Amino acid sequence: MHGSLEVTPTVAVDAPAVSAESRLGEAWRRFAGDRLALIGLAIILVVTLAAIFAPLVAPDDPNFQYEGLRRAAPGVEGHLLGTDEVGRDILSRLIYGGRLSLFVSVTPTVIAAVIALLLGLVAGYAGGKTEQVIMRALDVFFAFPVVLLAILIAGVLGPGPRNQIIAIVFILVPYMARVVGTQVSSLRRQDFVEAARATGAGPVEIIGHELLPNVIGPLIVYATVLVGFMILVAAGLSFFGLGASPPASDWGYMVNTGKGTLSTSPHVVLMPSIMIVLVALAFTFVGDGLRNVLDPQGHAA
Amino acid sequence: MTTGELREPLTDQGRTAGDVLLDVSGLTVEFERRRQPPLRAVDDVGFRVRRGTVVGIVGESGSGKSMTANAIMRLLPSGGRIVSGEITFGGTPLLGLREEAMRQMRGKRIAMIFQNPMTSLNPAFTIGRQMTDMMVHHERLDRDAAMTRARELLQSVGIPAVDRQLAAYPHQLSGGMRQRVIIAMALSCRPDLLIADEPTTALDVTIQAQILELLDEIAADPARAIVFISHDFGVIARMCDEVVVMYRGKIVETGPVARVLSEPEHPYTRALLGAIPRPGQRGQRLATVEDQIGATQPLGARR
Repeated sequence: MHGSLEVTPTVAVDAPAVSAESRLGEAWRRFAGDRLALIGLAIILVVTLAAIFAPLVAPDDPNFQYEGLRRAAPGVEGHLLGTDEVGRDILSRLIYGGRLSLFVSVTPTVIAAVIALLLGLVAGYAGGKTEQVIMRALDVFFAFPVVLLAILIAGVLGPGPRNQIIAIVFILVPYMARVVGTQVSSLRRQDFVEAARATGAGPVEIIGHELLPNVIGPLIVYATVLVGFMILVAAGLSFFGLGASPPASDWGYMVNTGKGTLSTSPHVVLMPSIMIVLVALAFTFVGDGLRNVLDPQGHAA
Repeated sequence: MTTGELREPLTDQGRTAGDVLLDVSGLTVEFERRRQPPLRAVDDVGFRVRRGTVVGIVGESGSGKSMTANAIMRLLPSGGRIVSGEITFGGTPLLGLREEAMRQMRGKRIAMIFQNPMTSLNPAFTIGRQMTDMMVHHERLDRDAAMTRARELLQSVGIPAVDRQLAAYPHQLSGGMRQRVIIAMALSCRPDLLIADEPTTALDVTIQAQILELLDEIAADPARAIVFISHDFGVIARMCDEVVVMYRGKIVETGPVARVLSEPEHPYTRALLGAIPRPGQRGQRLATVEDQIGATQPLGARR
């Protein structure tokens, strides 16, 4: 186009667009193409459903202590995963414990995602001093190792699932807000935001209509992966006695109670540990699978 | 400084010039800088745009042509402000409008087309959704009516298989298609003034020709005017009735496009024209603007 002064019109038709097929079907196909994601999803579904319908699914009362049947090996007298140090059915305790373990990892992630979305959108959209103040304040949290910070906060607040959740929200917000903030501040400079302004959109419409829909996908992906990580952190807190208090129990606490007999009856520790790892991995796999579906394609095309 | 000297109804491109739609005078835009005097990106710029005509603004990067357009929309990047001047659009002084009223102007009465069609559409929504949102917002149409309108608009800008495109996401369309969609969106509220900021620069030459042809058709509406910003004299010659040549934030020359191109008065215009490669010059070194009038030091490039 730097050539002659005359531009000869040429007749050529642009390539027509691809498919207009149902978006959900397309999304599912992409997700299902990832076998690990499917396995992860299956694990999460099974564990979640079992936790919700624990009274129907669990073979035993999780708190009933079988006298004379302490630390029974898996399979003994119908206890599929054996019994723990006071003779309680481990499988039933895992199923019931899942309620608390999932609750204290998923809830704070959702709460943190909402807070981070607000902070990140405000910081990224406003830019300048506002962005600096919000982001630098969050940076303070990056100075501490995540798990240590969680233990510190939960320790200060005292044990219990509620404080466990608060501690996890605290450690998650800086990470998630940083993801949202950087996304938004790069989106804000893009032409389609400028174009929206040129069609008369105000700040509320820009944030709600141009920015939010483009950060929500990556945030969901990130949050899903983080749930997996938070399963570990929550278990860690419970292991240190900062989570569930007896008789209520979760997976982390089960590991704690079994640790004294690790050499003689390893299954008491092993069963909840496997559960923690399995579910944490499952969320990571699903997160990776969602990335293929939810990340906006616009930039890549 | 004005292009009002041209009184003949018939313009260089054979269009009929109507009354003055946009009147810019003494427009000066400055950018704040740290520990330096403010940068004057647009300096005492004035021109008029009549209905039914296309006015080109031409100049190098950093000459202030895009900033002039942004100032008309009152959408300057942060740090920039209009220091002085007047912008009258259809009798309304734009600089006196409250932000709320200005927002009603944008998109509805003055629409803008941007340079890069690849990034000018929101990747999160389908074409149909983006087109209708705008009409629902400005024209208070309901979804169905807006969708019908969107369908007509896409047809009018020469898009095949309209229903499929409406359901598609921006990344599924080619650059030329996207620019057509953007033009259709810009037209959706029947604006009086269309500001096209380098609308074909990011496209390859064949697609560029098609888009110019489309803009030519749009310009045929005697009630409408187009401000066409480009660094490409070839495109300006093809599209515009009158041209405004900008250099370092100032207007150096203005007039009917044929006159400016054939008998440029200002040395800078001559230098710009001299920097265009021509067939038959093979083997010779291409003269740059610097060669011809010395270092130009653009005031600052676009963001």
